[in-house]
Amino acid sequence: MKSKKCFGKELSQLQRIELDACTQCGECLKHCPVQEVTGKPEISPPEKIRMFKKLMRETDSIKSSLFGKDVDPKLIQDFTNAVYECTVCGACGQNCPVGLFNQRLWPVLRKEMVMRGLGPVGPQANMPKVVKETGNPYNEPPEKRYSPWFPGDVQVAESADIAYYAGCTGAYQAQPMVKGDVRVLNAIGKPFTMLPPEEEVCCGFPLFITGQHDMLKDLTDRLVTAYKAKGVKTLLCSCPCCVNIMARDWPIYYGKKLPFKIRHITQYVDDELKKGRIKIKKKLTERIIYHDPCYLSRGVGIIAEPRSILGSIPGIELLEFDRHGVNSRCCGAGGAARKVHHENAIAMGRLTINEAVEKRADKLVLSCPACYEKVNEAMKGHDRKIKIVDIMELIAELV
Amino acid sequence: MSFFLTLSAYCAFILFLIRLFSHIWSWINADKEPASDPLVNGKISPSLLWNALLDILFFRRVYATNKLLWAASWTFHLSFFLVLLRHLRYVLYPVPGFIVFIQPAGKIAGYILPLSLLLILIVRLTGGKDRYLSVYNFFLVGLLMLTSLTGIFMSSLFRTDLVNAKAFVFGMVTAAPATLPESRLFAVHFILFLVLLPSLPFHLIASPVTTIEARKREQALYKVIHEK
Repeated sequence: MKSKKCFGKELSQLQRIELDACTQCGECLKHCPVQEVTGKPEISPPEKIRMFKKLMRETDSIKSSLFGKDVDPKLIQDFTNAVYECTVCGACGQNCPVGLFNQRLWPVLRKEMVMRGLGPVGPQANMPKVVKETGNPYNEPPEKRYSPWFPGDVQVAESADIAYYAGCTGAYQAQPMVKGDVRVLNAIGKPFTMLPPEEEVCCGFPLFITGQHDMLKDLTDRLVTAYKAKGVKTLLCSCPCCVNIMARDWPIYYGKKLPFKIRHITQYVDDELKKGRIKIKKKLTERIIYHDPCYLSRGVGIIAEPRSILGSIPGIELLEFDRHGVNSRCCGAGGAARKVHHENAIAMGRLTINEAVEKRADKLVLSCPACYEKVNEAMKGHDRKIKIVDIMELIAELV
Repeated sequence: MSFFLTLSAYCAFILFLIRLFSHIWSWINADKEPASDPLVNGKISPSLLWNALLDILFFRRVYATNKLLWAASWTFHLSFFLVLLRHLRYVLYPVPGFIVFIQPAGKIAGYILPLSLLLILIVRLTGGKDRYLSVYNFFLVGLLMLTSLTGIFMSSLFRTDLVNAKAFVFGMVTAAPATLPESRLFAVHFILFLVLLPSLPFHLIASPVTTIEARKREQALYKVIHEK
C-alpha cells in the first residue's frame, strides 16, 4: 500500500500523463501574468511541474521504496510558494504546445498540498471556517448579503423558473455589479427568484481553487436542493467563477445531472435582447473595451454573448485587448492569490488599465466581480485613469 | 572495453525499460475518473481525430505559439526520427528495403539535426524577459548535439569501419558480443547514446495523448453551458 505521504495521489490518470507531457519549452511564460509582473521563472508553470514531479519521485518511486521518502523541505517550500502565487488563470495551458489543461491541474496540485497540511497560505487558510460560520468567504454577516445594495423597486418572486444567484464577491465586494444584474432582470420583466440571504451560501469556488475540497459536496447539496425546492429551471449568475464550478463541478459533487440549467447572465440577456423583450433605448457615443474574465472565456466559452450585448448599444465603438477571448490576460484577481500576493494583483490590474487607456477607451467594461473589485483597487493611486463599469451596470443605465 | 560497453548497453536498456514501465505503471494506477470535470473527456469524432493527428504530426500547437521554435523543433524531431531509422541497419539483418531506401535521407537528416538543435538553443536563450531553459533540457540538447556531431565526424572526417560497427552492435542485440571497432570516436558516440537512452523524455509518448485531449476539451468548451 502506498504511503499517505506520496505526492500525486489526487491526480487523475490524464493529469499524471500531463505532468510527463510537459516539454519544459517555456512558451507558457510569455502568457503567464505572474511572470509578466514578477519576472520570476522559478514560479513559472514548467518549474511547478518539474518540482511536483520531483516531489512524486521522492515519495513514490522505486528509489523512494528502497531508500526511503526523503523530501527536501526547501523543495516543498519552493513548490508551495509557486503554486499559490499563481492566479490559476489558465493562460499557460491555453497556449501550451502540448495542450495541458492547467486551469484544472493547478487546483489539484494545491489540493495535494492541503492534504498534507502544506497549504493553503495566508488568509486562505481561514476560509473553510469562515464559510462554515457565515456562508461566505469574506466573514460578512449573511443578513447584509443583499440589504446594502438591493434596489427597492426590483421585484423578486417567491418561486419562478428563473433564479438569480448573486454570489459572495458580487454581494459583498462588487455591489454595483449585482445591482446592475437585478435591475436588468427586472427590466426584462420575467419573474425571477432568489434564495433568502442565509440560504445563498458560497458556491464553493474559493475553496476549490485553494485546494480545500472538504466542504464542496455539502455546499453544492445545500444550494441545489434549495433551488430545486423553488422549482427553478434555469439558474443565472454573473460571477464567472461561480458559473464555472456550477457548470463543471456541481454535477460531480451532487452525484448526478443538475435539475436545472446553469447560464451566465450575459447569455440570458443576449437572448432576451434578440427576442426583443428588452431594448436598449439610450445612445452611447463612446469607445469601450471589454475584458474577458479567465473563467468565463477559457472556463466556459462565454465570449460572443457579452460582445453581442455591447454591440447592440447604439453609437458604441467596441475595442479589443491584444489578448482577448480565450487568450485573455488575468486582471490579477484570480486563484485567490489577490489576498496573499496583493502587489502582484495590483500590478496585473494596472496592466489591464494601461492597455485600455493606451487604446483610448472611454470605459473599461468588466463582467466578473473579482475583476471589478481588483481593477478598481488597482486604479487607486495609479497615474492612469479610466471609467470602470460592469456590463450589466452599463446596460441597466441604458434600458 | 568491449565487455564494459556491452555490459553498459544492457544496463542502459534495462534502465530505460524500468523508467518506461514505472511511468506507465504510474499512469495505470492513477484514478481513471477525471479529477472533477466530465467535460474534459469530450467525444471523439473522425474529424477530431484527424485534426489531432495533424496537431501531433505537424506540431500545430507549437506553430500557433512560436513559429521559429516550431521550425526548429519540428525539424529536430523529424531529423532525429530519420536518423534513428537509418541506424536500424545496425540492428536488423537482413536490412529491410525501406531502411535501405531512407539511408540518403537519413544521412542528410544527420547534418540537419545539430543545426536544428542549435536553433532550439538560440530560440530558448534569446527569449528576453521570458527566457526559460531547464537544466534537463540543456543537458538533453547538449547530449544530442554531441551524439550527432560524433556521428557526423564518423561518417565524414574520421571514417569508422561500418562492418565492425555493425558486428559489434548486432552482436549485442543477438546476445553474441563482438569486439568493439578500433575507433575512439565510435566508442564516444556509443557511450553518448547509452547516456541518452535512459534519459529520453517521456513527452514523446505523453504529449500525443494530451494533444488529443486538448482537441476534445476545446471542442467541448462551447458545450459547457451552451447546451439546449
